[in-house]
Amino acid sequence: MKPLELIPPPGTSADRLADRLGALGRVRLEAARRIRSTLLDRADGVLRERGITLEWQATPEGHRLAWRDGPLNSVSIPLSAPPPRHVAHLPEGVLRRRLQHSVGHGDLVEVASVRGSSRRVRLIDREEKTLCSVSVERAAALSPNGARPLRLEDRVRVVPVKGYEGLARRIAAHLAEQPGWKASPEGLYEEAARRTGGDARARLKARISDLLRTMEHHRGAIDPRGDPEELHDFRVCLRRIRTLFAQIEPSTASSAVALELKWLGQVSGAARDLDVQAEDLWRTLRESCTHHGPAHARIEELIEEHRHEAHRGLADALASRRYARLLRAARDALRKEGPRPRGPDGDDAPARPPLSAAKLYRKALRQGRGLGPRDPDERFHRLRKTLKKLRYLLEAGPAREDARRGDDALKSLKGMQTILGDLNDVSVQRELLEWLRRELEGETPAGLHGCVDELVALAEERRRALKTDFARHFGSLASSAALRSLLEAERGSKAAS
Amino acid sequence: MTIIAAFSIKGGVGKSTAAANLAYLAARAGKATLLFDLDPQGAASYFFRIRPKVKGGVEGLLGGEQRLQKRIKGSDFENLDLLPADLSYRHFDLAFDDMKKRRSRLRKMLSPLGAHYDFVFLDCPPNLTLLAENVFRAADALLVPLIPTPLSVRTLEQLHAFLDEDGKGPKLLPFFSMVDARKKLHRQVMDSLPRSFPEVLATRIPYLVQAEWMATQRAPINSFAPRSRLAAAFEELWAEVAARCEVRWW
Ligand SMILES: Nc1ncnc2c1ncn2[C@@H]1O[C@H](COP(=O)(O)OP(=O)(O)O)[C@@H](O)[C@H]1O
Ligand SMILES: [Mg+2]
Repeated sequence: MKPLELIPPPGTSADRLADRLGALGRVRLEAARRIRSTLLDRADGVLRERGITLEWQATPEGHRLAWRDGPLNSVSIPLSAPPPRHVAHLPEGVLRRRLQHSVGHGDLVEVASVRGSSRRVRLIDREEKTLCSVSVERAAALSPNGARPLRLEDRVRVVPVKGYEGLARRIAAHLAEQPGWKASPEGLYEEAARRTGGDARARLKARISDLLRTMEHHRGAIDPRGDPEELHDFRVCLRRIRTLFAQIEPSTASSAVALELKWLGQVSGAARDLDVQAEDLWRTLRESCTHHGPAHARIEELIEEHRHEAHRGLADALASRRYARLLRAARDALRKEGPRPRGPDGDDAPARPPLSAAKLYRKALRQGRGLGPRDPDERFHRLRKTLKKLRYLLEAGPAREDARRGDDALKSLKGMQTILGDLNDVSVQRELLEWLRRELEGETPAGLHGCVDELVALAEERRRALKTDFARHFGSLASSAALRSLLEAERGSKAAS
Repeated sequence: MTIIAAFSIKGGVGKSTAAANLAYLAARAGKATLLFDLDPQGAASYFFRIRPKVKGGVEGLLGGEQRLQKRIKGSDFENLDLLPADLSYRHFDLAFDDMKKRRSRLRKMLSPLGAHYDFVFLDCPPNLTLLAENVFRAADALLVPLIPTPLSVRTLEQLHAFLDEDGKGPKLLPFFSMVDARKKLHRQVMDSLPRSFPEVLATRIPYLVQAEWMATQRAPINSFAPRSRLAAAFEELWAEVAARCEVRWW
């Protein structure tokens, strides 16, 4: 069955439409509703190509992800923010199965968003059962890079109800015959996707080039004496670019770029770490250290030197031929029409098994059980990485039914993650202090070594406190009902299959 | 696809009420859901304002997926479709009796729907006929409303005996329905029954006039009175049923 989209004469309101349809049968006019939705697609636009609309809608009751291919075939699931980035993050069910069938385990990107309003006229029978609904949609489209909104043509959409398709067809035909009305080859969402640039892959590339420009802009302002946020912003752009590049198909060019981006991440990370650590040390010196005077000055001087050195390393890297080559290669990769990603049919792409929250949780339990103040930081660090993945997966959005349970699970994770993050900072600081101690060997300003010892002792104390805290929080992580239900769910589904 | 049948040998215990509400809640949770009203009385169809009439009657449902699909009606709720009741469903037994593998006809009939639905709820008529045997073969779980009286204990025993005889039956999910906690008898039965039948669900659906509103509003309670006590009870029931049926949310 063809979509039943019509373009009404200008100024057609839902009231007028209700009057017109009221002459044919019983109708109900509903209140206007806001349309706020984001269209998603795979980077190569395969959904749009197949006439499928995947729409993440903000409704007064929460967010939903809706699938539509043809007027009858629709399904939607409650799905909390943010919009899903990957098919594997969706809950089990028909929608996920259909997506898997069309795009495999692919990444999803935002193509366009639509803002506006819609008002529905329902055609009902004597029992007040809806037999068909006709809505007037008025909206504008925005491309994901935030260009000015594009006004879309007003549309009237006839939505059939399963089992009463004939009526919808008759209504659409009737409306199309009215003076000033015409049938439309595409719906509001198709028009939005087309007019904002259409192809998701093109959009993705446009966003990467935007980010490259912004990154370049921040690069110019990185200065160890200036605002440390410039380097931070530079790195945020870099991280975004890296994730987005991973969404473009893995052609050789872009994977070489990916490696170079990783290098850039490492060089800039060293300078950023020192910016952060220096801040933290100054605060400790000022607020907690009992030694004063020349010792502070000497330590500050040395750390500043160290920090500037790291920034010089970064500046050299950013001025290097390697960096210039990287930028060029990245832009080339964006211009080039790479091979299309392998589709779900006849593909040899190994289907990535869906990430399992239960599996990650079990791993986290294994890694964290029995960890105590005596265990090396490395083990805590590994746990931190596992929990990060788990959190990402949970945030990708459980079904609404379990939103509360999902929130509880996230809450149990959050405290733990703060502790592990702080612990990581402390271990970076300990390394810095060791370095400081080595550098200061043989120097004798008053109280210098005592001061370093005190800083070390403070860091150690913090580390111990964090590790002790850890044990307590881990208990609640291990016994969290919300998280344990992940394991039960998995056991259940194993038993079922 | 998970098939859940609201089943009891007795009538008037809350099968249709439960089937309609749970189907609605499953759909609201984003599960593509079909409610199949097998009871010629058509209570479930009535709750969704759908006329209890199916083209060709029982015969119209047999003979392939396409014919079956054509008889499914969309409800006024997203993700929820209905296969309406029909008076001819009184003769399901006759229609099945003529066929080979007469006990698994319903299963065979429903299996192609797996591509379209996550859940199928069956609202069954109250008896132990060939249709019931078909339901036992087709369903993954039997949702059995029990009014907490000694008589309901007997029905549960009967059902157990019947299913045990058959061997690999569906999972039994009995729950207390129309509970009046002020009645001593109700409290006694609810205390003692789970000891002999540990599968009894923890959720109890209280006896509330709100249930009658469904017949005047002609919609599931959770759709028009989501904050009512009855709606809350059904939410709880659905959470428990979904957990027992091992629904994966993640
Ligand atoms: N929890 C309840 N409290 C009060 N009345 C109820 C409750 N559940 C159902 N009823 C009423 O009992 C009658 C039978 O319910 P129904 O669900 O149709 O049972 P069945 O399908 O088992 O015959 C209906 O009039 C219904 O409104
Ligand atoms: Mg009934």
